[in-house]
Formats: sequence, C-alpha cells, structure tokens
Amino acid sequence: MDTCESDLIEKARQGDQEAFGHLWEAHHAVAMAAALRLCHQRGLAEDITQGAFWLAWRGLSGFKRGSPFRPWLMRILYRHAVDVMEKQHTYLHPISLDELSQLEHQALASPGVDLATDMQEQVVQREEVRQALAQLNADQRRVIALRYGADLTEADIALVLGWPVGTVKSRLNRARVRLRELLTSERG
Amino acid sequence: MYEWKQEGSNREQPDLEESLATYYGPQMREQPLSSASWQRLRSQLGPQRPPRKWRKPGLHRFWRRNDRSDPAYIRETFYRMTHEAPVFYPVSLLQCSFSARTRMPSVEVSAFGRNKIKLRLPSTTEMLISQPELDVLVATGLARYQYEQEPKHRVLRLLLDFALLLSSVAAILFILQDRLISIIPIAILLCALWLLHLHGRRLAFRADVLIVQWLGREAVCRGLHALADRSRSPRRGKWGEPSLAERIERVCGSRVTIEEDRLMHVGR
Repeated sequence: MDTCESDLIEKARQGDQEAFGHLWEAHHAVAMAAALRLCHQRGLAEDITQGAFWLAWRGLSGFKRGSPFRPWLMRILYRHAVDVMEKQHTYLHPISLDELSQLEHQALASPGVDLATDMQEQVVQREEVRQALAQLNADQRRVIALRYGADLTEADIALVLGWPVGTVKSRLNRARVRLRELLTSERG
Repeated sequence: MYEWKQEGSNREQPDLEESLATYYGPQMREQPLSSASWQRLRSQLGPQRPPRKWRKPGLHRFWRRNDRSDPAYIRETFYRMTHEAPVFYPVSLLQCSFSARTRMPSVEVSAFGRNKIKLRLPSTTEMLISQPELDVLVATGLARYQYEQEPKHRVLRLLLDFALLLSSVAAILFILQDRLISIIPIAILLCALWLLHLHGRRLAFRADVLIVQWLGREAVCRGLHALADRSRSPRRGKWGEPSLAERIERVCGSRVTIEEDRLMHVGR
C-alpha cells in the first residue's frame, strides 16, 4: 500500500470526508464492476457499491493499519452484495434483454471474451441458470455467487461470510450437486 | 459409438462450470460512477464507529463499568428516541456490547444492575447494523423498560417470581421426602413459568404499539423487516418473547414491498 493511501485512510479514520472521497475515487469503479457482475442490474449495483462504501466508512476504525485497502473493501462489498441480493430476491427477476446487451457491451472491452458466442444462446443459458439458482437456498446461492461471480477461493469465501472453510466446501458441493440436478431436469 | 454419443450430449448441454461462467459473464472493465453518486453517499456519511477498546483482565473490568464506551451513533440514537417518545431516561440505562459471534442484534430489559437496557450487536464490519434496525431495537428497549416500570407490572412480576421461588423450594423438599404431594408445587412452578412467558409476550406486544406511536408504522416495519432478513429463523421466538414474524404480523400486517427494502443498509 502506498503512503498516500495510508495517509488518506488515516485521515478518513479521523472523520475526514474529503479523504474518504479520494478513496472513493480510487476504488469505486472496480467495486461497481464487481457488483455489476454479481447482480446484473446497474441500479442495484450502484446501491450495493454505495452501501459497501458506507459500511467501510462506518467500520474504518476496525481497519488494520498497514494492510491494503482494496481487499478489505471488496470483502465488505461482496458480503453486502450477497445480502442485498437475497433481500431484493434478485434471482426471481429475469435479466432484461436491454440490461444483458448493456452488460455484453461493457464486458466486450475485457480481454478473453469469446466474441463468437451467440447472444440468443446466452440469454437462454442465463435464464436456465437463474431459474435453477432461484431454487437453491440462500446460503447455497451466496457461495455460488462468491465462487463464480466473484472468483473467490474457498478460503476467501470463508473470510467474507464468516464461516469455517469446511462449511464453505460442503455448501458449495451441495449447491453444485443440486444445480446440476436442476439444470439437467430443466434441459430435459 | 458410446464416446461419440457422450461428446454429442456434452456439446448440447454445457457443464455446470460453463453454465455458471456464462451466467456471471467475463470480468467487467471498471465502471466509473458520476459525481452525483459520491454526493449522495457523502450526504449519508454519519459518525464512525469508535475503535474497540482493549479489555484488560483482572479487576479492571469491574471499575470499567463507569466508563461510557458506547459508540456515539448508539448514544445519538438513544437521545433521539427519548426525544421522540418523549421519555426522560439517562443514557446510562443503556449498555451496548459487541461480539463477533453475534449475528442477530437483540435487546433485553433487565430488572437488575445499573444498565437496564442491554443491546447486543454484531462487531464484524460486514454485519454492521443499519439505522432502521438500531432505531427499532433502542425504541423496543425503551418501551419495554417503560412498561416494566409500571407498578402493576412490577407487582405482578414480583408475585410470579415469588411463586416460582416458593414452588421450587417446596418441590425440592417434597421430592427429597419422596412425597406424592410434590406434584402440586411442580404444577404451580410450571404455571408460574407459563404465566411469566405470557406476561413477557404481552408486554412485548404492548411495547410494539408504543414504538409505532413513537417512530411511525413505516419506520418500525422497515426496521423489523431488516432484522427478520438478517435472522435465520424469524419465526422462532424466545421464552417470554414473541418471534420477529409475529411482531411483523401484528405491526405491519403484511410484508413491505421489495422497493421499500432497498438501500436499507445506507440508513438515514
């Protein structure tokens, strides 16, 4: 972590909102991208990003001096995101075509994207997965979202959710098995 | 032949990892937000939580009781509630404890000790309590305390406690003497316990009516729903206390809409 950021964090800890504004400037775009990838809705992703920064502001006193800011912030964001998504019952609402094409457009600039993938096929696949996810329980959805939507390891998921690693592994396994069953039955 | 069939079916049905990768899509590039977004957040930044104090072992914890270490935002909420009620109670009534193991914030009213309203909150940053939840908890504590202070409730509680004590002693004595009559004090004991349970629930429901008068139904519903969303079993009540689901049913009648739930972590 560079000195400048640690100075900003120190000032923000003392209640300096300007300093916190600089931290927002430096990290909000990445946080927003992560939230958007998880929930697929721009409005909700913005709410999640703001909520995570608000939680970070409230909890700055608990931030360990000298440790990097972004991983700490992202832990808060992921935790907040999965909670908000459950509260909002995000998985019950189909992804709109507008939102999907917007997401595709935003992801196209990222490296490693298969340009040849058929949009129509993707819509069908996403809808199938969404319907299957809606039938899992909340904890299973949380681990799946963090594993595949945030690309976290099992140890990181354990840290974010405050569960033992063994619990994360077992819930992830059960969620995968159930999802496989649901997807197989959906595809006939 | 078999292998070809399997390959063919794989091509038609993408495996789970692939399906999930498609669902979540590739990594996104950075998504900068407008400055209005920061202004909106900035308007909501309130006081920060003070750092947790290191608790020293030994006698220190006894004289630490006089040290008011409750976070400023909790004291502010308490002052605001007493102002809105309006009731005149000192902030020293409130005791706040944070624990990493606490997932579900709760409030208890105790008949003993200096701090009568005990607030238990989660300490991990990721589980920080939102303002509507805090408002409801503090108001609940104040309302229940106010009812428990009423002479008729105090007398009733005293009588029940006395019956409980007396029947327990009698039951033990009769059991030791192997007398069949021990059934009677045991029955009284169970009755007293049941009455205490009913009394606690009745007070809790009456306190809920009071907090609706103080905060307004919408704010109470928002707080109760936020608490219920956090709880793993909102339908499970404790002894002498109704479950969150019961409270919501009585106070709100039905669930608040999803739109009203939005941004409940961002507080006022």
